[in-house]
Amino acid sequence: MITEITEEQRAYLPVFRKEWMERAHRTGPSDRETAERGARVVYEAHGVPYPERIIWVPSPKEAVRVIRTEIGYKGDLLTQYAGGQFRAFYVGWLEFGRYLGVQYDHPEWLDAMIDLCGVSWWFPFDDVAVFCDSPEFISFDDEGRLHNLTGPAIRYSDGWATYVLRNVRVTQQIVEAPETLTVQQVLDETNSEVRSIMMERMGTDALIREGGLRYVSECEDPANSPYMLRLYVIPEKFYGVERWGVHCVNATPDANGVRREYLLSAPMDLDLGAIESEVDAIDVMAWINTTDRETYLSLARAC
Amino acid sequence: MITEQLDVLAERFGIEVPPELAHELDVPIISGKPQRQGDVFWEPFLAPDPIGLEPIPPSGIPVVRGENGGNTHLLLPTGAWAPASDSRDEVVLGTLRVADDEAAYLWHPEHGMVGFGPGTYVAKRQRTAMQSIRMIED
Repeated sequence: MITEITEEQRAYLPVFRKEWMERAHRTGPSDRETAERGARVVYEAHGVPYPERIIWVPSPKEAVRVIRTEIGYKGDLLTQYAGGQFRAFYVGWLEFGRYLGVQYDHPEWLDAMIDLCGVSWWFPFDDVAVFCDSPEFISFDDEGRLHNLTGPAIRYSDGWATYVLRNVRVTQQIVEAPETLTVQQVLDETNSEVRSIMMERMGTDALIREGGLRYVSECEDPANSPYMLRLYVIPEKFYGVERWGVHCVNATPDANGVRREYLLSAPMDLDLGAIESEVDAIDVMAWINTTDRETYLSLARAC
Repeated sequence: MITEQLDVLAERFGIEVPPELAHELDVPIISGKPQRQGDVFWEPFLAPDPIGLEPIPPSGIPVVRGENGGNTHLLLPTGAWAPASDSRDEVVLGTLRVADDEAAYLWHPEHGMVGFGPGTYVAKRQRTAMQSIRMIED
C-alpha cells in the first residue's frame, strides 16, 4: 500500500492536473482512430465482438436522435452512455495511481479509457456504437466554472449549445438578450438561482417599475458622487421573503460610456439591532460589503 | 494626496489600459481608508499582520476572479498578500500589507487602478443574493 508520496511525485501533481484538465476540456473533432482503438478493448473485455456499424455524430443531441430513430433504442440513455472526456476526472485519478506504482490487473483497460477521453460521449450497443465529437467550444470563468456572458458556454459543431452563467444553466435569452426579460418571466422561473441571475441581468428600470418594488429612501453613494443609492423593498414574490434592494450605479462607465446599474439585495433583518423603519441604503450597502456603517461612509474612493 | 501616473504604472506592470480608462491620469495612493473596486471592498485592518504574508510578485496576484465577464482584480507590488485561510470563505479574500514608503496597486480592466499606501487592508467580496439564497436553502 502506498502511504505517502515523494517530493518529486508531489511536484508532478500540478503538471499532471493541468494536462488532465486539458483532456477534460478538449475541443474540436475527435481522433477517431484512437477512440475506436479504446472502444475495441472495452468490447473485448465484455466478450462482445466490435460492431461493424460505427456512427460518428457532431453533438449529444444528434447522438440521441440517431439512437432513438435510426437505431430504435428506447431505453434509458443515462445508463447506456459510456464515459468520454467528461469522465477524465476519474480516469486521471486512476492514471495518477499508475504513475505512483499501483499495479492494475488490466492496465490495458485504463489505456482504453484514456483513448476514449478524446470523445465527448460514446454509446456502445451490441451491434452498433455511436461516438460523439468533442464540443467546438467550451468557456469557463477564472474560477473554472462554466460561464459565458456573451454566448453559449458549450457549443458543438452542429450548433447545438447550452448557456451557463457561473455553473448555473440558463436560457439563451438570459445570456444574449437580458434586456428583453420581463418581471413575469422572473416570477415564473421556479429555480431560485436562475431567478436571481435573471434579476441581476434584466434592466433595473423595468424590474423596479413593473416588479412593484416599494421605494423607501435615498442617499448619496459614498465616493461615487453625484450618484445616489436608492433603497427599495423587494416584494416577497421574488425571493419568497421580502428583501431590501439597493439600486446603485457603477462608479466607472463601461467602454460604451454607459454606467451599469445594479439592484443589490440583502435580507430585511440586517442584524444591526436597528428597527426596520430606520434602515437606510448605507446600512444595507454596509451589510452587502460585510462592514459597518461608519466604515462604508468613510470610503475614500470607488471605481 | 500622493498620486502615481497611470501610464507609468501601466508600463511598469506591462498592462494595457483600455482607451475609456486612459483619461484617468493619476492614481491616488490612499492610506488607512476603505476603497472599493467593483464588487471588492478594501478596508483598513487594525489587528496584527496575519500569517502567510508573501511578497506580491511582479506579475501580480489575482485576488478575485472576475464575476462579470471574467475580468480579474489583479494585485500588484510593492506589498505582501495573505489569502484567506479558508478558501471556501465567500466573503473574505485575504489581507494586504503595504510597508512604510511603499505602495501596492490593484488593477481591473473595467474599473481601473487603485493605489494603497502604507497599512494593512482586508479585502472582502460583496455578498450576493445567490449566496444568501444558498444559505437559506442549505
